Amino acid sequence: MRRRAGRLVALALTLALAASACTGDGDDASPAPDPQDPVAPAPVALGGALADVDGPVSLGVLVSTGAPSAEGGDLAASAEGAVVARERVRAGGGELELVVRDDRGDAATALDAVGELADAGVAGIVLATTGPHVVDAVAAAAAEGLPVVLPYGAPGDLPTGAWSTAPSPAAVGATLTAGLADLRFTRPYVVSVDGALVDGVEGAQSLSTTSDALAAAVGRIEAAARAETVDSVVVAGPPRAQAQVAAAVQALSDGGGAAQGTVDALPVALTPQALAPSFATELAQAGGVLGGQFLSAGPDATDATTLSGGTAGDSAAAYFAALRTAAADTDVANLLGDGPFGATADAADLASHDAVVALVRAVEEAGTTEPAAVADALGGLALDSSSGLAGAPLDFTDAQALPDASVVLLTATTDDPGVRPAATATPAAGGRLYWFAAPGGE
Amino acid sequence: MAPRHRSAGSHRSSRVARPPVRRRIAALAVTALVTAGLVAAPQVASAAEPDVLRTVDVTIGDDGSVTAVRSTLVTDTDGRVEQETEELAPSSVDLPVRVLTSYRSDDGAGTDLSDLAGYSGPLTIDVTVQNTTVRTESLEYTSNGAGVREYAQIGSPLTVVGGVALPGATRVVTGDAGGTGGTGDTGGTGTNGVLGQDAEGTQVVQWSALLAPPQLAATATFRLALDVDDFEVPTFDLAVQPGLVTDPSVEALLTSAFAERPGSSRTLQLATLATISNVNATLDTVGTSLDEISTALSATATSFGTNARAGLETASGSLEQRIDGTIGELGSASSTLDATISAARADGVTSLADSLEQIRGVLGTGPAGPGAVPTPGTPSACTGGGALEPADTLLGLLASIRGSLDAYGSATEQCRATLVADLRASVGDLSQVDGAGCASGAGRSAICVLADARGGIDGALAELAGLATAVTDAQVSTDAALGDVVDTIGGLRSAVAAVGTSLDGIGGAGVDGVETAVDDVVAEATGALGDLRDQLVALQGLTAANGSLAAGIGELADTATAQLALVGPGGSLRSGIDALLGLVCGTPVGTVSQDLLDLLASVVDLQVCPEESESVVADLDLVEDAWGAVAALVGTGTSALPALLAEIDAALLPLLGSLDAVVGSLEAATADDGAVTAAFAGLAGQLDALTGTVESIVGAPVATGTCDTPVGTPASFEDLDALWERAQCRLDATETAVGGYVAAANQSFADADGSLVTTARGLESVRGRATGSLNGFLGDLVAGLDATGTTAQAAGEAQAERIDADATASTQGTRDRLTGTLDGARRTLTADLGATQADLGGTQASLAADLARVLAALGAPIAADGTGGAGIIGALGRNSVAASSSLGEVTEANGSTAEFGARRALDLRAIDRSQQQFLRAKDREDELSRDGVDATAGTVRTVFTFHVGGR
Repeated sequence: MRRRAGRLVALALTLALAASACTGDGDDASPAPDPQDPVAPAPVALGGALADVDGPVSLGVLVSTGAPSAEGGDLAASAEGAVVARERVRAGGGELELVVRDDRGDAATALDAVGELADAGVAGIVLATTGPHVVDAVAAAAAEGLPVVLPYGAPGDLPTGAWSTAPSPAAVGATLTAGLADLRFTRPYVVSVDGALVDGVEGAQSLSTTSDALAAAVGRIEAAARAETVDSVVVAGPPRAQAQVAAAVQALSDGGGAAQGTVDALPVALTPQALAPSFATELAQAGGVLGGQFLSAGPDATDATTLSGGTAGDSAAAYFAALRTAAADTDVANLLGDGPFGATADAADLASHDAVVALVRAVEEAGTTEPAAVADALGGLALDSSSGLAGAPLDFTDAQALPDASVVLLTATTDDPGVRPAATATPAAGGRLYWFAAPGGE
Repeated sequence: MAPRHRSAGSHRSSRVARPPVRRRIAALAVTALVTAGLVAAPQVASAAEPDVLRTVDVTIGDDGSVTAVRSTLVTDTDGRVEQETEELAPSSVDLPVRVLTSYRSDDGAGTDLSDLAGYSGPLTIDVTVQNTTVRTESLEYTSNGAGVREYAQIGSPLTVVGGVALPGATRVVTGDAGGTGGTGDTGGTGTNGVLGQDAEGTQVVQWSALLAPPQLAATATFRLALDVDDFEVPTFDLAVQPGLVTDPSVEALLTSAFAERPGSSRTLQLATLATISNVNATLDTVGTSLDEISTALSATATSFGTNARAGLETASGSLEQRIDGTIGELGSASSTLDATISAARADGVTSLADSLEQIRGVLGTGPAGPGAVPTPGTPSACTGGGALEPADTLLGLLASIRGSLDAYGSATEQCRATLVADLRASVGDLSQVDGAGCASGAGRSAICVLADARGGIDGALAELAGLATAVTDAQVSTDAALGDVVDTIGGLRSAVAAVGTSLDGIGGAGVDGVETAVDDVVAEATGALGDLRDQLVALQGLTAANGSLAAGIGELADTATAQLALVGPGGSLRSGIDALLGLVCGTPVGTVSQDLLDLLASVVDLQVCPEESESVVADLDLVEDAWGAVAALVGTGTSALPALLAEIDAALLPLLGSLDAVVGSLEAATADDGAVTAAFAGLAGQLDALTGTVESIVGAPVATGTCDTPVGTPASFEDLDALWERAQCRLDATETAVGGYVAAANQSFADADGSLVTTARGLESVRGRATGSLNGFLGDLVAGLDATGTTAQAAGEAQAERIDADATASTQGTRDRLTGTLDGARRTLTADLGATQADLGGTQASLAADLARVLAALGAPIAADGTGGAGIIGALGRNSVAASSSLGEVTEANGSTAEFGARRALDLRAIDRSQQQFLRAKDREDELSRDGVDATAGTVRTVFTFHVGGR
């Protein structure tokens, strides 16, 4: 962990090494590390975390089990990554507790939950849900001085003391636009479902619809495709709606070809809601082909990230190593404490892990668990893999903590990188999709 | 970066200052590949012996840190073998694998194996090896005739073998490998390697794995479960070689392409076939489904919102047909009335026809088009940008409301507010009731349209009243004509009576007196009889079949028939009024869905007059009864007026004959007084009979009834008067009632105006409840579809099995050859691992040969022109084509569906993509071996060895 001035030392080191290697001189202000020094892997245990903080540290986690997709119901399973963070901190000797509340997608319950977490003395809250129902909860937390980290995006403008570590809508739009263009698709049909929007994507055609009126929307897409006025589809909305549109678009294809009026398989670009595991399940249930061409946007922090070397791969590998260890330990409970973590490890993501790590580092920086001090400390932090993050660097000097530059084009595959404990995972019905970064996105 | 070896004259920045250890050896360079540890390097996977051999030896500490890297390069230049060894900086090397260590013990879990020094007790150590050669590349290829450009992961396949030597006292736990027991499975608790002994009796555990992402696993975990005492961390030796050295997983590769697993090609094919079955089943049951949907919509009180909108869409067809039918009937009624004009000669009929035409115009002029909102101004973006057609008819209004609701269902929150405003504009407000606020032409509100309808109804009722008056007048005229007949008959009877009296006087006179009296009587009677004859002839002119009275009765009968056609069952006026009142008052009309009416009621609150409308129907019933009685009276029955008139007419001829006979008798009266008297008597009798008949027609006046007086069986023209009065009374009541309903409806519009927004919001809530209800129904529907599609699905599965059999047959030969080759390679490698201290030179040739056969078995792809193709790759291509052909037959057998073609194309694309990845993986494997070596060096083979922990 470093203040902003000292961030990305690893990158600087790499550049320095490269420069030294090319020129052979040694004029750098700071001496380059000895190349013969051992190269340590990213640590699985977050050693020393919270060592200078008296007593156990409590962090709040708010989830929305059973809620509709638009209210974060698909994210509760993904939020199990917070457990991995907790275990990594504990493995390093830190005393960390997660206090979990479930608002089930209800605004009043979310508001009450924030109050309960404040009463429980948490130092900060990971809002592992999303949707309009948490707007008031975020505002209430901020009003109480509780720092809030939102790994799955902000439902609106964030008050002071709240940070989003999800991709900004603008970055998503720009990434999808550029990604489609790189694949030579420049005339997308943009579909917004249930009020979800994708910023900045200039569609050849567009429409807003609801989840129960998708058939009409697909009819319009088909007409546009046969008229060759569009060459791709961009869908913003809950995972289920995205899956239904994607499956229907797949069914439109008649093999393509040069003949007028034929429909080639249209690539489908999706907003980051589709990164939830439920998208693949819904797609299979809708009769879609998981092997189709799907694009999305987000940080390069997925299962597939481990398949490459470098810092990003090592950080992700350390996360998954910790995940496997926790999953194999039957004494490690899941987030809600109602079962072993191993049974839910299949969906645990890096975003929720990093949200917890960020708050842990803020507590360390503040030297206290007093929420206002933690919020103040977090607002000055810039974190990266050396801080224990498993995903992309985060800069909390901005409420949009995930920089737009870290948002890359992601492509789906059915090929399992195999970094999760297969024996303990619950196989997703109908299969699962894994996302990997497109070239240039690293 | 990968380890690099300099070529002549080049400068290597990553090389450390320490001079390389360079020495020449006469022996085969392969000995340099043998590490000092337990594991022998796998042998090259090329048929030809490489020109350059390289080994990269990596030392990893207990905590997973890379502490040292040494590269040894062996070259053979013109028969002269050279070996170059150099130490590399750990930070400068990109290794093809990531090696992670972790442990679990009774003291806890961790990743630094040095923590375990001196530990006693149960212990599990995991050494996880991850392939990190995967890169994302852009692939361009052709699939199913279409060019494809997309991103895919490409990685070099790696063969990994590992081993660890353990002190003899260490107990190795091998009981539960868990899961599949493979190295990619971390679910078990036991050792997942092979336990053996070396030549010196030392315990050795060995593992092997193929890391070939993305199709095959990228990660393998070598698990060592022990029960230790004063543990000393051993060294795990790993050897990693790019390529398929020995390949038990190639079969898994084929399996992954054709096995049934989530997302696999075969699963997709089966899913596609199931889709076909479902499509066929759906087609078979669509009629039943629609009925069920309709029933569900009607039966579910809470299923308003979404269901009602769906109901509107389905019911709108019936509604529009109904209105079209009404329009047609109104047109038909107009034509009928036009024809009636000439028969009844009633000016009011013409006006009534005009009024009905006006009503028809208010209703609409044809089938309603797609939903359009009659909102003044520019088209709303909330409707999807389509131009909005104005509605100035009731039919158009309904279509507009439907369009608004369609748009509402799919609109954003902001657009919903706009659409609610549109609906409010469509409905209008009370200030427009008098028509003052109604615009002419297009874009009028519902209130204006219904006000027009009300005006049309008022006009129609007024014209009906006028028609009734006109027909009454015609009846009065006819009645007057019959009165003349009665008067005539009365005069005749007086004359006969006078003659009779005269004849009575004759009897008392003498002959002379008689002659005189007879002469007087003859003179008097002749005059009277002459008058009587004239009147009888006139009466005959009235009652003859073509007489004026009969014609008048006929006209009356036509009028009654026409009126019954208007007000009777199915009559156009009754249907029109029913339809209009139904639309105004919410009374169900025909088959129009109750949901539609509920929907309209929710939007415009039209539940205003359900009870009153019954009295309108009752009024019409009474009018119909009255007309029916008229028709009965002037119809064709034996007791009807025409029959009676014919009876009169028939009686007139003999009466005239009798009259002539009387006159003749009078002329001969002197000869036979008795004959004269008899003739007069007969004449009097006939006149009496005629008088009775006529009087039965005219009848006695009956009391004038009220509107509610039941209509009895009419018998005379007097009854006809009462009937007309009752019909007039009922028509007046009907007019009043209808006007009242329209006024009430207008008031309801006004009341509803303010609550439209609330109603619209309520729709959302109700839609949610409806969705739940509909989901339940759909669940039942899906279950039904599953049952229906069982047969077709079974056929699809059978076809899939045939496909699989074809695929198996196509690949069996290749697989058999491969299996033999792999077995040979596996045996060789096992022997090699079992004798780790042995000289591996002797086995190299055998391994190389085996691996060559492996590569040959892998084969080459089918050329673009369809020729060539060999081995597994070729089989993949052939199977793809065969599967495509077979599934094409399935498509034809099950009916061509677009979904099948689309999904099959994507299915084939996934296979094609895998082939491309497989081919690129071989390229990447070569790149990995050659990376960092002079490009002119010839063929290169690189082996990485890792020594983890201990030491």
